[in-house]
Amino acid sequence: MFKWLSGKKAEETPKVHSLDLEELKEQLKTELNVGADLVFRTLKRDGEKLIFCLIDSLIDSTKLDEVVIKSIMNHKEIEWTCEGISKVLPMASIHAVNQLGEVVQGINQGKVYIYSEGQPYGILADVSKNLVRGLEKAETESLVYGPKISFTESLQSNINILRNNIKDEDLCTEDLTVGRRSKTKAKIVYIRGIADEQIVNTFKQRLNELELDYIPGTTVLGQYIESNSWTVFPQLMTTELPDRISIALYRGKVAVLMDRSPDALYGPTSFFAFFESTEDVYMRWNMGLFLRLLRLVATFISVLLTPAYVAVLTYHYEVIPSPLLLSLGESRARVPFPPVFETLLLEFVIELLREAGARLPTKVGQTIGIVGGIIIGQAAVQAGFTSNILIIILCLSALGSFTTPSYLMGTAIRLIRFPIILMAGLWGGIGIMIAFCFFIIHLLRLETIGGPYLTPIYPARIKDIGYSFFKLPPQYFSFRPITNRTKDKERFPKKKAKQKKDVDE
Amino acid sequence: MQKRSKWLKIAIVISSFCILTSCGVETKQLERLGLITAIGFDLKKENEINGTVAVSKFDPMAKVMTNVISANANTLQTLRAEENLAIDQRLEMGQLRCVIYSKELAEKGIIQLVNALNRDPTVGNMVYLTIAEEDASSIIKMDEKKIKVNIGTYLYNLIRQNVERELLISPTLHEFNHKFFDNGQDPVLPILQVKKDKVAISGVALFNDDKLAARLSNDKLFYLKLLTDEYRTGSKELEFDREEFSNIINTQGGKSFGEVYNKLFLSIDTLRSNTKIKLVDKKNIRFKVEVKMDSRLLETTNYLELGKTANMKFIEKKVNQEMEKQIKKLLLFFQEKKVDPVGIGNEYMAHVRGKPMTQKEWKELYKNAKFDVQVKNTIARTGTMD
Repeated sequence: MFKWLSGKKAEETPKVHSLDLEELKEQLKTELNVGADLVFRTLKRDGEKLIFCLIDSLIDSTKLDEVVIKSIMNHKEIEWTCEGISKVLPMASIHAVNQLGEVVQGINQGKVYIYSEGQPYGILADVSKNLVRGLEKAETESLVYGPKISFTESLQSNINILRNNIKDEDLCTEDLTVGRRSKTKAKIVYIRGIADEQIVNTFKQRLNELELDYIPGTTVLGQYIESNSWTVFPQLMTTELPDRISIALYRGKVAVLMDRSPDALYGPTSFFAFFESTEDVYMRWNMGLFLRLLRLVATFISVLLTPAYVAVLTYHYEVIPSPLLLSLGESRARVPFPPVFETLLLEFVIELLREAGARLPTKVGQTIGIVGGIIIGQAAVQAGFTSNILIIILCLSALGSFTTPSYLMGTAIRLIRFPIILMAGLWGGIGIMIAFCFFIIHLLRLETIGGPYLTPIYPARIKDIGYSFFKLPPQYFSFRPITNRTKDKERFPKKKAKQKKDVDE
Repeated sequence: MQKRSKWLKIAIVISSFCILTSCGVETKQLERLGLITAIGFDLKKENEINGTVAVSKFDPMAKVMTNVISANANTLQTLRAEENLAIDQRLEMGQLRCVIYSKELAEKGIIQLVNALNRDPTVGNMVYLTIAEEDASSIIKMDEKKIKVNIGTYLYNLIRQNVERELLISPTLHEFNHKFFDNGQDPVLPILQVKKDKVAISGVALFNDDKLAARLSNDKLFYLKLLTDEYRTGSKELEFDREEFSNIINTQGGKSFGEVYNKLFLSIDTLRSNTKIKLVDKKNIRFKVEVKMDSRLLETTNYLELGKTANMKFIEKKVNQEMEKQIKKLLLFFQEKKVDPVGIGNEYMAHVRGKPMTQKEWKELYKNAKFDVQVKNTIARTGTMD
């Protein structure tokens, strides 16, 4: 039963490294294979030899010089043994090791290995240099209102931001290593006492069972641990906003942060969570409600308006109101293509513009916008390539899809439009209905970390609708979302929230 | 085994998709259609009708054009087929707005043509049915330059606007069907007339079954609508002898005004009404018609002393009496012509048990029906005065 387990262990038999310095050097060189980056520095005193082994590119050289080497050289009286050296090193993180594997791993992580010839143990001291970029404004999720700080690529500083946001003793950050070869550090973050254990365990299980060599970032990690990888709809949210994570954690969600990845992954996230922006939370409830409804309506329009145009102009001319009939007919009369083809062509142009604008540097990108928007739009109508009403409709639906706060969900919405347009061209209104029903059924069947995807709608959790669909005045949200099955159900006492006390009471 | 069934499922889905796609729903691309917006029917000779259609069509080079095509046939289907031969775009009925039947045809019955519209799923229920004073084709053939829009749209707006202003009873296909198939009520349609290059509504046609039986002028229409429907913001002008009002006419210090007419006209508006027709006596078929109204007195052709309550009561009484008289006259007129546009038959049938009544049976009883009319009009306001 444990054959595979024992087999693996035999491979990594503990091996003490050579006690001879020259041999040690050779061993390290063959193990690490990093060329000139591997640097040895030898100190000598009365025939005793002390060696520092390190990788040049990983360490902070001032730290090494000022702290490690200087303190050893200044204390001439100490013995060059493991205990003796550790007494004079003014550092918190030092380990005594003698296994070759551990030494190699330590050096690879940016530690310096200090070894005195003949001693049974050497010391690994952490002098690593972490290249961190400064804190910047969020780029992919731009905001008008609310905190704008975003995560960076350093896990340490990300946890630091998060810990500063939430000074809760129950905030748990459990360590993980992701990637069998890359050994990237990651952390599962949740608040004990709020997050449901089952969700935490699901996350842990899915992450631990991954046997991948390398994962480039949390967005990719999310794709590996979500339940259905065939669908276009993302089932886990990634965000670069620390406050978004804090809000989610207090609603009973679980987050995963990974080193070298500026996005945090969190879940379970239902379909409607992708239409929430932190701005909704910071704004007054009625403004937030308006914006949220606006986004949902925009999405609906974005998915159904162009197919409706195609269906109406190809099959259901009866439903066109008479004031619109003339202008529609007039603009269509000059177009040589059937409506489906016309629509797909223009959709293609818009997607091209978007992609070209995204790939180019900002300055050139703007030019592309002008070229595409004005010149192509105007010229296409004048040349009788498309009808001008279609341009309006297409722009509406393109704008609608860009209002979605989650870029992934926005792209998913733009994608599902194409099959619906095709079906509208094939079977008209019936085609739209079939395609739309297909997507609804598909959404109903999806799940996110074991939970339902369409949650406040199906299964109906009427109380939760205020958290994802609508917004209500804040005093009504004394409970945490029911769908997340939080252990601590109440956020604040319900009765007290309704009292408004004056100063003298 | 499970794997095989999965593949089978996928195969079924794909093959059914292909098969269904090849079924091919008939495409009707807007710009390739000639959209009929109005049809006029005339009786050509025995066993033949003449249909004239106004067709909107879209040309890539020109603006929207209206073509008028005319053909003779026995049924609507063949009529369309005949007309289709005369145009380069396929004729479709889906944007039909208005249907005109000539008076001659209406007197002989129009239900066969209405039924043809009913059965065509592309024709909406909100199509307006109308009657032409003379021949229908002359209305359709009206010069488009003079009315500035497509004739179908023009007629549609003409009727809709008047229905919305509560000057006309809504003549949609739906309402015609409802009243036609209802044994206790008869349909009413507006009559169109060409007047100096314009089409105008000159009255309403009252039907007995599907045959035109009588016509009502526009001023009488108010009372018909009062009986069948509710008014929200109606208005009505009433005519009185000036002598009757001599007590309350304000002479403004000896001077006399408003002597242009030798009668007194009152105009009331923002009229809200509610009418109840009750079967009081089942044996003698006696109905009580109760009309409740409140309104605003806006216009009088003589200065009246409106400040006093007694005077207002007097005016109210006079208005009530006049209206009662007119309503009674109208009901007797309906009885005489054997038409029942008010739906009195429905009221009767609702109170008499037994076998459902046929239209014929009801019309027999209708002859002897008697009516008590009571109008209660409250003049709530008299306009602003300084």
